[in-house]
Amino acid sequence: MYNFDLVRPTSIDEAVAALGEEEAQPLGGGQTLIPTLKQRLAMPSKLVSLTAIAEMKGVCKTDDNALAIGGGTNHATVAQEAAADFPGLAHLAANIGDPAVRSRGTIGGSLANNDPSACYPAAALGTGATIKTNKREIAADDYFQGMFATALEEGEIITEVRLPIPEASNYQKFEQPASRFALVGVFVAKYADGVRVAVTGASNDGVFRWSEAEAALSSDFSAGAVDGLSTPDGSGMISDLHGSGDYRAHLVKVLTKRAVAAAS
Amino acid sequence: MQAAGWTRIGKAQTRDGDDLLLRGEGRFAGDARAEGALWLHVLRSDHAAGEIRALDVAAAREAPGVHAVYTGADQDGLQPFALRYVPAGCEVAPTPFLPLATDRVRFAGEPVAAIVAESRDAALDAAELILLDIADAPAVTDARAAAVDGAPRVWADRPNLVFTQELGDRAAFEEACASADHVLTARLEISRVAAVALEPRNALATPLDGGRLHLRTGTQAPHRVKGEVAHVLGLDPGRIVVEAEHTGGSFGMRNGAYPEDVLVLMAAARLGRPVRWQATRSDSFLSDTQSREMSVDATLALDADGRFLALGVDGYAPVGAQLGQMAMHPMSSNMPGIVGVYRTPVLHTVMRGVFVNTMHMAPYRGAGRPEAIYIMERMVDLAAAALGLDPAELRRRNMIPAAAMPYATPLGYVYDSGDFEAALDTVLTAGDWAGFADRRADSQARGMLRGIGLAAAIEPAGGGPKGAQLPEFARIELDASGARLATGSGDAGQGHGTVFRQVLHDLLGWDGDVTVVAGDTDAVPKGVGTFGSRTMGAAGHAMATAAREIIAKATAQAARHLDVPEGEIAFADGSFKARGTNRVVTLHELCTAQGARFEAEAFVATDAGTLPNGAHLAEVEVDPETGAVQVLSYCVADDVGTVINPLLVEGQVHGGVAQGLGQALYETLTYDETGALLSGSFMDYALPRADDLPFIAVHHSPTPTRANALGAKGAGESGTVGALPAVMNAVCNALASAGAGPMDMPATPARVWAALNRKETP
Ligand SMILES: Cc1cc2nc3c(=O)[nH]c(=O)nc-3n(C[C@H](O)[C@H](O)[C@H](O)COP(=O)(O)OP(=O)(O)OC[C@H]3O[C@@H](n4cnc5c(N)ncnc54)[C@H](O)[C@@H]3O)c2cc1C
Repeated sequence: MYNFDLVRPTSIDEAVAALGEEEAQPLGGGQTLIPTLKQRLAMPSKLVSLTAIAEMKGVCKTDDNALAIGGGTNHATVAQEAAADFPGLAHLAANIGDPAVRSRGTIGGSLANNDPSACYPAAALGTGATIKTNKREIAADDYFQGMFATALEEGEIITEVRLPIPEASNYQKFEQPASRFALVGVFVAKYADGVRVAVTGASNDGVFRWSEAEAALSSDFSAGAVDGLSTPDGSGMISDLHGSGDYRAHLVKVLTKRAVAAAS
Repeated sequence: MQAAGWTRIGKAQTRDGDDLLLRGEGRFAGDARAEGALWLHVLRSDHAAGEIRALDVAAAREAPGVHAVYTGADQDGLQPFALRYVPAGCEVAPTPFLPLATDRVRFAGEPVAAIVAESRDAALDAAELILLDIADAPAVTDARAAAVDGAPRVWADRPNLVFTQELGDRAAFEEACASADHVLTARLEISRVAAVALEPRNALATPLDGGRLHLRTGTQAPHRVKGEVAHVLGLDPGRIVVEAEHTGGSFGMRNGAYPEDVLVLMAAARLGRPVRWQATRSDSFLSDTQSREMSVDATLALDADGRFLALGVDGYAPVGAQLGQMAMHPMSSNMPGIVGVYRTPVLHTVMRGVFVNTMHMAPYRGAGRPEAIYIMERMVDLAAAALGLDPAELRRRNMIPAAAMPYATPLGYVYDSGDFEAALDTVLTAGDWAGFADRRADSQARGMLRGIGLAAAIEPAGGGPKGAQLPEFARIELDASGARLATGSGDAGQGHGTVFRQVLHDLLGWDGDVTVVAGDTDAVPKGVGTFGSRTMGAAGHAMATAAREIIAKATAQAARHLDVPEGEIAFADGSFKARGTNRVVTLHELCTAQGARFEAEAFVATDAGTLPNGAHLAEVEVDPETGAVQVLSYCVADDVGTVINPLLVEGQVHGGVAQGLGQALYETLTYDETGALLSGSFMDYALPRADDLPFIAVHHSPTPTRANALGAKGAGESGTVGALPAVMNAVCNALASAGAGPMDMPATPARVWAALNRKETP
């Protein structure tokens, strides 16, 4: 680790001001950033911890039936507080990493990082969530821009994530044997006006929506409806020592079916 | 020696000292304080092969807090590491293996420079100032590929093929195959794995008065480390003290000295300050010794009744880039053991060791025995399938019967004891072999594939059943203050102290306190170490030998005390009794009331090694949609000879099975075509976790050996030996039920799915 300064503001405004400095970087739960720093792969001069900002924490249901989650809310809190209103999301959060990771890692950190194998991006895209930052609101469909790439600008922080609560939902995560991140993860959410299917872990372009499955499921929300679809093309999928692109493509279909079966 | 009269041996007892470890109060080398210690950082090559065109450390030497920077050019006076093992019948010249690369690098992770600084940060900062230019050259990490003419050479001046060891009679083998009713052949690939100790390697060197050097490290064999670092440093071994307290896992990977041990000692001597090195997990993956990889073509010839006529093995195995002390051991030492527990009249083996551009090999839990038994037990299952025989029946038909002991196998092993069929029957019953068809039908109804896998395992422990055994040291001292035992067998978490106390209590009838001293080459003058499941046999034998001398000395003292001739004294259960009288004095009383003090030591070898054996049964379920494998049940019938402490034996078997199952299902060291390690962290190197393991039922099935004073055969490795084949047999059995397979390890979901769908495996 290189040396850095650490500040712990208590309001979003203070955090944004602190981030105005060159080479300053936000620090959420540190579950991704701290290991990176330990390996000397990043060299921020200042870390702005977001963990003391009360207005960025907590889970509540909004009037328009969405779940609003503060960007600094950790996975364990989401697992607990989303359980009643949005069990599919609570289940996702409850299966990220291990208890230590869940009690530190945050939804804002996860979405800002946009690891191609992370779980939250599937939920955000699969629900058509709105990512709120200190500057603006970004629709999930515009937010994810490829592996580790997002619409966030320098110094912009995720303050809240609003996820419309579906009628039914489920997240199926097939774990990569070593890291236990998603080798492939599929989030299925059923709304009155249609079904959304978001896939993480699989594509070289990061999280994506499987539109064929969405169309089929919107008219017939059953595992059988997925059966009839051809497997997505594996050529653009991640191919590594844990699985080929074809294997991942195959899993996308299997997991989508399983998610529908578990959700309906 | 018989178990009669033993009261402590055979009792389940929890491990002494576990509370310290559970509270985080273990005293590992990294916990050792050293006033003014400097930090040594090793700069490693990130190229797998190539000439070092430039290595400029001038700026690093001037960096703040830096005391020294050493490169390959600063190794004056060092001797290359020496070979501790050469395959029988082969002549192999050592490589010029020094701690730091000189002209070329030969694997990614090879140490290139050592920076010694006030702090870790200062050392890392300085390392960034080093200019290292390596002319990238082609690398090869696969043994078969490296053995081909025209493959990139790891050493310019010698071929990649290091040795070819041929054992047995080729003509007899070919003849047996020609006249056999069935001849089965298969290529079997055994993966390369890392030991992955919980505590990464570390070393702390401290200069002592009088020009001596103290090395604090984690090791299973402190005396070996002492001898080897002294050799490389060109010092008299008397000038080195090696001390290990707690060691967080060794498994063969910590059975000797490493370059970093030499570097801290060299730096401490030159700078006159304590110097510390601590591996990160990444360092461990790159620079800990590796093991097990081999690719073999196996042939099993059978007669019409399924009786084994001959077994042939022809294989390739990587040794690594350097001939580390034991680099040639894992793939060659146990070729005779491939026949396993079966009567197989003819065995012919050819094994080649090949240089590759990776860290070198060393034994890892089982050291050639998991590989051997894997080959045999896979062949047995393949034969059973080909002949339409029940795998249990085929095994039974070929097993060496208990009545045939001692039994000489084709390449000179002599099995002294064991009831292989009894062990087989135990697991067949415990695992309900007969009811498998119903369970499979139940799985099928849920869309799952179920598989069952047997393995009959045997493993030469100690130095093997052939040839000289290595000695071990024990020194026993008794006086009014208590008993002290010093031994050369280091403990890396097994619980040696606990079993040693049990043994001493029974050998001497000593109920008082026993202090166990190990892991310090000054406190224990001699020793060899813990490896090869040999500690109960080797150190136990030395303890028994020393105990006999103590009893003889104490008998003389007791005779004087009881005022009878020595010949009239009988010793039992810690008491000396004058025959025909009720006059008795205990050993304890002689020490306490009489102020007597007894001591005896032994540095002895047993005449023969031992052969722990047993049967394993695994049952798995495979999800054909995803390829995920779940191990549903696992049971073992284990013959470790005399069971000193059933609880610790079970713990050893559990850990061993976990490591074998881990290799079968998850673990593998993978390199890319440039020689870069792809599975260099826990993000990509998959270890089994608690929730991957079923309950592992251990049934003790002891047949004590006469090879040592305690009748103990050894318990440290048998779990691993049987687990590789049992789990893979179960997986392949499940695949076969869907008309797919067989497949090689590891049975990761992607590879299982590929096998089920006949796709190329990743
Ligand atoms: C052992 C382990 C297992 C894991 N398993 C999983 C898993 O199964 N599934 C999964 O999805 N994840 C997993 N993770 C990752 C975990 O979920 C992390 O918490 C997450 O990726 C990052 O969140 P964080 O709050 O720790 O962010 P940090 O590490 O603090 O930061 C990550 C990045 O986001 C930026 N950042 C942080 N917060 C904000 C914000 N509010 N606004 C803008 N930028 C911000 C930082 O500057 C940094 O660039 C695992 C991590 C570990 C260590």
